[in-house]
Amino acid sequence: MKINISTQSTHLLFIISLLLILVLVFSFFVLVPKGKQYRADRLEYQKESKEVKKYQDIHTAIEKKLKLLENKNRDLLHSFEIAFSEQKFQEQYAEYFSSLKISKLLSKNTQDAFVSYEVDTRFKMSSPKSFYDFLDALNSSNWVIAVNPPISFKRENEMIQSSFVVRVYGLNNEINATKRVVE
Amino acid sequence: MKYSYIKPRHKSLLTKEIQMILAFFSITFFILFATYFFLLMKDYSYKKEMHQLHISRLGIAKNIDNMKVQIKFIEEKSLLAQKIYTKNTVLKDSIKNLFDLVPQRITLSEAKLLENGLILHGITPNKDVYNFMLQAPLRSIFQRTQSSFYPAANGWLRFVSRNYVDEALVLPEELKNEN
Repeated sequence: MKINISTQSTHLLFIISLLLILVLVFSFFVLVPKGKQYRADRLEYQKESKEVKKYQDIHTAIEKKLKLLENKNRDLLHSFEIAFSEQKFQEQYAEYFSSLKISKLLSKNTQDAFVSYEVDTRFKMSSPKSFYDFLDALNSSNWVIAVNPPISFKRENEMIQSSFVVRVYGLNNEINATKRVVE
Repeated sequence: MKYSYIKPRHKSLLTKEIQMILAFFSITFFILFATYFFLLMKDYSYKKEMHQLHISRLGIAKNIDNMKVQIKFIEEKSLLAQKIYTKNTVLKDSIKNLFDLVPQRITLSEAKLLENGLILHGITPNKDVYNFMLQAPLRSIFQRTQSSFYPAANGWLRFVSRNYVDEALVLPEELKNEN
């Protein structure tokens, strides 16, 4: 049996085959890999978005905690920031004693986060309560002050002479200490 | 000279079949290229947004680290202040207890409160009063107690009492480090 195919039909078949091959090649070698890459990128984008969301949630929680801490400790942090004044200290605590003297001690250790002062006081033997009141008042002071042993009490007639060391803690001291370490 | 009696029909390269095929493939290619460019654009957009998200994540992470440092700083300062305030209160109670401890019959002339001990100078009518009324309570507080006496002008006895506790019992380790 002989099949008669016209020249026109042959050309038509050739063109269809060529275009079909082009479509298939373009689809499988260009479009499909690009599609795969698109899906991978979309997944990565979603992953990154989730990660950022997670970080934002952590950020919000930590920010809330920080704000809460700052509000709670505002006065305390302020106490660390205020520069210590011997004169103000004397004015503030003179009412508890008959006499009060404060003098700065030279520290050998330059890395200390505090400055030491020697305090000499005299109070009536009949009212040691004023000394206890002074220690209570230190805890609500403008500065962060620690009373450090040794504390000596010496009787002088009807008075008690007391001397002790106080340590004033402050941020400036820490900064200076850090600077000294760096230098 | 004519070879045919009929009029030749007009022939075109773009027959109806060819036109249909070309239209079909044109639409197909258009859709394929449009999809390709859509993917290209989306890909570019994702990459750009990913870069922005990455920068944003780094910024947030840096902020989180900064805030953690601030929180640590505040907590440290708060803890330090609390320790100082507690230490001051304990010291006040110790001094109060010291003055309450001394009986009426014994007179103190000097007292020295040390980090790990107490030194008392005073005057007592006799050793028994000192031993029963002062040394006994001191022994219950301090691990090592040492007393020395010497006569006073009025017939009473002057005494020096040195009392110490073991270092480990005085202050917690972290407070010592701060000191």
